[in-house]
Amino acid sequence: MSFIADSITILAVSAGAVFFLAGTVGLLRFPDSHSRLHALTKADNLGLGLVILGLVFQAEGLLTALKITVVWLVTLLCGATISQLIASTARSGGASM
Amino acid sequence: MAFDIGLALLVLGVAAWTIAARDTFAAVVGFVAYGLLLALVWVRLAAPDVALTEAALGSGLTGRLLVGASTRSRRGETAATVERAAAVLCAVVSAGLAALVLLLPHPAPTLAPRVMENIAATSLGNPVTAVLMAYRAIDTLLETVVLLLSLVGIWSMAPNRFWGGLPGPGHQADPDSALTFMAQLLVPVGVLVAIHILWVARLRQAANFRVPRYLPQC
Amino acid sequence: MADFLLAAAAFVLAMVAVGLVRILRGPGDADRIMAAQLLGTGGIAALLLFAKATNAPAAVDLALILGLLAAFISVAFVKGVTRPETDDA
Repeated sequence: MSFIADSITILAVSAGAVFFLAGTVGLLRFPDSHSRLHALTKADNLGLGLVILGLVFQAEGLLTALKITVVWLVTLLCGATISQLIASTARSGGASM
Repeated sequence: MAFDIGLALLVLGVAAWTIAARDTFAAVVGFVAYGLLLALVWVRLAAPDVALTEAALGSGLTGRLLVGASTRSRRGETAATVERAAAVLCAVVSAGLAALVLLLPHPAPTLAPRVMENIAATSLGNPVTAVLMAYRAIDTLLETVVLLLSLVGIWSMAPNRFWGGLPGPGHQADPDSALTFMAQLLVPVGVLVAIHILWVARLRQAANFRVPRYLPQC
Repeated sequence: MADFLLAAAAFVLAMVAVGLVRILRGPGDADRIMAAQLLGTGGIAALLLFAKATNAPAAVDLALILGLLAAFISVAFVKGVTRPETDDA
């Protein structure tokens, strides 16, 4: 049982790290603000989500697992709204178009 | 070990860039990034309470104040003499602090054992919470009173042309915008998180109070 | 497992550090705000990995606070960019 949990954790955390890598590369290499924002949200949602999914399998109690999931949900909610705000900032002239 | 070195170098690099940045807004973003990295450093030093304070106040609140200041001063240019004077003042203060830390006697004088002796009287488990809320409670209250009096003093003494009017809502919020939605959802979440942190801090054991003992061991 | 999690935390932080270059270069304010946001999220991931690897449950609480703060800071930045003339309380 713990072997399965460990292998799921390793897989999920590695996948999350890959998404962080993709998000960072996108943030640096994409040509304009809106596509960079697109890359950033992938790192935000999927990268963090997969890392947390991996950690949930390692959590030592229901409370810790729930707390970690709440962190992800809060980041998801804030990330979604912040993307809207950043996009409107970029559109109204605070960015490279 | 390599991780700690990398983190320290990153913190120094971000700090150096924040000082050297041309645009004020970019410097404020750099400052906030520096604060977040410093919170990670505190976690590595096994002081999560200090990390919490650093993240919330050092990055969040100070960052907010600096953004407000930077938008107002963005259109002006500071004179070179003012910049040089500020640089000299910062260097002198840093040198003083470094001298103080490096010249501490071994073992450094600390009140931590006295705190731990009397902690049972406060019925709090965590020494940092005990210091902040029990031992120094009057101190914090008086600081608030001093701040209030200074604010009233500044308002009364400032020349008329600097008076911006009564503080009030800065703008009319559009009830359908994304920002309003987030505010409506975040405030209850924030209150719940604050209550949770307070509750957990009350119960957490004394293992976190290692900061004052770490420096003398270096 | 602890070593793997620690290595993952170091990797995420290295990624975020590289992303900070965008604060340096980003020709517009939105790019800088995005780099700060990435730092916040990466910091949360690294902290959670840390908390599990070094058995420090306090870091999970810090990650929770950091999540809320990242939102707060980004909103402050966005407000600071788009409304430079209005007096803000």
